[in-house]
Amino acid sequence: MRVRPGLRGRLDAADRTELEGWVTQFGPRLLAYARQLTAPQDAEDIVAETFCRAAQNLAAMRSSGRPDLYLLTTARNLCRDRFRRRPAQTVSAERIDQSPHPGAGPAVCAARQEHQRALRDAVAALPEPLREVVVLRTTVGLKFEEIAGLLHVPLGTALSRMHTAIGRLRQKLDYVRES
Amino acid sequence: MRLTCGESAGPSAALRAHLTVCPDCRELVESGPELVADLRTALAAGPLSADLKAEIHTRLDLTERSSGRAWRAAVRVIGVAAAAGLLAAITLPWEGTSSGPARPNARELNSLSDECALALAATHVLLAWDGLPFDAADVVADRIDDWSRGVDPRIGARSALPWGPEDDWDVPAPAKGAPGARKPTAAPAIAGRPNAVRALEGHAGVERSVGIHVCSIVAAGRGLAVQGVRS
Repeated sequence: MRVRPGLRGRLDAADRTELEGWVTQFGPRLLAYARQLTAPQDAEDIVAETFCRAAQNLAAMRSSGRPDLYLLTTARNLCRDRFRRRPAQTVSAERIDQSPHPGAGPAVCAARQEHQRALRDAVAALPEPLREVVVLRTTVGLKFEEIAGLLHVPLGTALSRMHTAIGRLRQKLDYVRES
Repeated sequence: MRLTCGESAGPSAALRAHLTVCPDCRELVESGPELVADLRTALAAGPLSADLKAEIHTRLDLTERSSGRAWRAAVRVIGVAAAAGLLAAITLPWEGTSSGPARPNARELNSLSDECALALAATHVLLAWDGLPFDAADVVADRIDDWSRGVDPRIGARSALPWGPEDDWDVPAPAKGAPGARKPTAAPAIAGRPNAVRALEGHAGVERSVGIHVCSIVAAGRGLAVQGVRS
């Protein structure tokens, strides 16, 4: 589609500065969220596309008053679009983040990494609605009221999903330790 | 759950009393925060990579803000598409049972209707008691949808409420005079909560037909036959 002159405008310096601030502030949390909803190779693309959409709709994003929720909603919609196109994707438990723990010995580091891997495996095995609430609460840091608003579910449903997820994770991790 | 996730400063008096007699909940409250903290670490993505930042900057360079007129044009396109879809839905014969998830048998649907009616009644009273502005039918439909997808098996159990017992601790007291707050019809029974399901069985009879209706809507939405639902 051709864009007629005058209908669109380039981002100015102030827009760019604002957007780059959001990239720094919200980018890691968006990436953590996208990794739980889509294949790892798609997550980074989702994040980049999310900021691209934000740039196209700066006025709406500013007027929302909560740029983080606006970005999360955009990322969620993009993930769902991608799922629709490629529904057979599964979320891998292998993650990129394997940062060393300062001051810890190799054995402690290895144990922690093993525990984190088990946790990620257990989260990856959860159904998507549960997984989504877990990452929104723990990593993104939303409150349950905000999660309910973002997912368009009642507050009780968000709380209940978290409760179910925690129960399953505890059960699974106990199983991992025993085995 | 809020306590486990660090949203609440400490247990309420009711929760403390419950914890003295319930080892499962006590273990959850004691070990839950550690699990949540571990999850926070395990699922964190860390700073964005330089490659990803470069990719974002490149895309931003190519991005232009959309104008209001472009937005209105998009709305017009969507409007035309929606109208076409509506026209097709009206004129084409409905064939909802040829595809979709596996069809449950009549016994399953009947059982679901019972639970649905009970859940709807309970939800109706709980929402009124808590002064929450949700529609009970929406809440129940959402939970049944969760159940049907295997997200929350508790909704299929006779003792299941739309809220789990753990959530009772979290629901704030209704604000006096808050919009939508109504005096619940079964307040004394709900205030105690342990026997809430039994106390609400009377309401289930009143709300039963509504529950079946919700069940039918959910079943239809999933492309299932609804003939098995007891009328």
